[in-house]
Amino acid sequence: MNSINDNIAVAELRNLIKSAILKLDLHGAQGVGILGSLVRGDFTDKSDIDIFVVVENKQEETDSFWKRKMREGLKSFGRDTTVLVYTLKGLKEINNWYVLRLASEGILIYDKANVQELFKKIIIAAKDAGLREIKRGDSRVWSINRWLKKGETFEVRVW
Amino acid sequence: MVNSEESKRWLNQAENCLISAQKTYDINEFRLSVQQGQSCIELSCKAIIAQFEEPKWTHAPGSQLYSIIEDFKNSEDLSVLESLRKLAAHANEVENWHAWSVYGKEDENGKWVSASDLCTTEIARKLLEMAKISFEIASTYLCVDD
Repeated sequence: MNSINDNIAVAELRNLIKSAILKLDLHGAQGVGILGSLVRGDFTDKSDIDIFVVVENKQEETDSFWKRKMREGLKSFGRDTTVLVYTLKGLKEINNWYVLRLASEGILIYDKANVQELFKKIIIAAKDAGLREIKRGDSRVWSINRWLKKGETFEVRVW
Repeated sequence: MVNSEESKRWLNQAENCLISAQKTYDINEFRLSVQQGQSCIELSCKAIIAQFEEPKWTHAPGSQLYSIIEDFKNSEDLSVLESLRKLAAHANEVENWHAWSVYGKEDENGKWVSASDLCTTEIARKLLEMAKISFEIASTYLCVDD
């Protein structure tokens, strides 16, 4: 567990990272934020900086464009930077389990398209489908939290 | 998101890795075969987990599958639980090969052994067999016939 001083140091680092991101040219992004250990509070000397970028559409170069931009913009922090790029369509469709993680854990720094509101809708959709966040070891995961018989399905959808 | 579609996506990736593991084994590319075999087992395990919950971001998903089985062990046939436990055990057993098959590892004499020297015929054969069993368990549980 992190000490109070560690928590303060992580909070300060988080603010510095936020400032660094907001200094970048974010033209083309619908939303930018942080996730992972930086927001969970278990950030250590070895942790990566995890960034997410939400875009309207993806071209072939979109992922590498944002990875380059974020890594360049945050290089002074001396950490590996992981950059996840999502489209608004992918988020609305909840195209994989990790969209739920992003919606519940991600902290938006820049929010042009009201992605925060979309995150709220995704969480509501997950709960309406019967999912809830549970502890698995040292992590939290979204789970149906009951046994499913073979072939039993459920759907999480933002209407 | 539909849970069964998520599981199927993971399982398709697992199948792809299994095919690659077999092909590379057949042409004596044992390092690649080990790499693909480990991926197949990891993805087969995550295919089952994805049926119930968000797979954790790890190369050792066996512990998460064990937890699910333990939480609901009274809800399923013993034979099904036993096969899922086997899959979880396989996933945890081969976890280290994810890194070892790329970077190698230090041996008991303190010498660094390269990945290609580490991934012998025997290791590749063992992981390929485990991958076949793991994929079969996941496919059977998820009722994927196509």
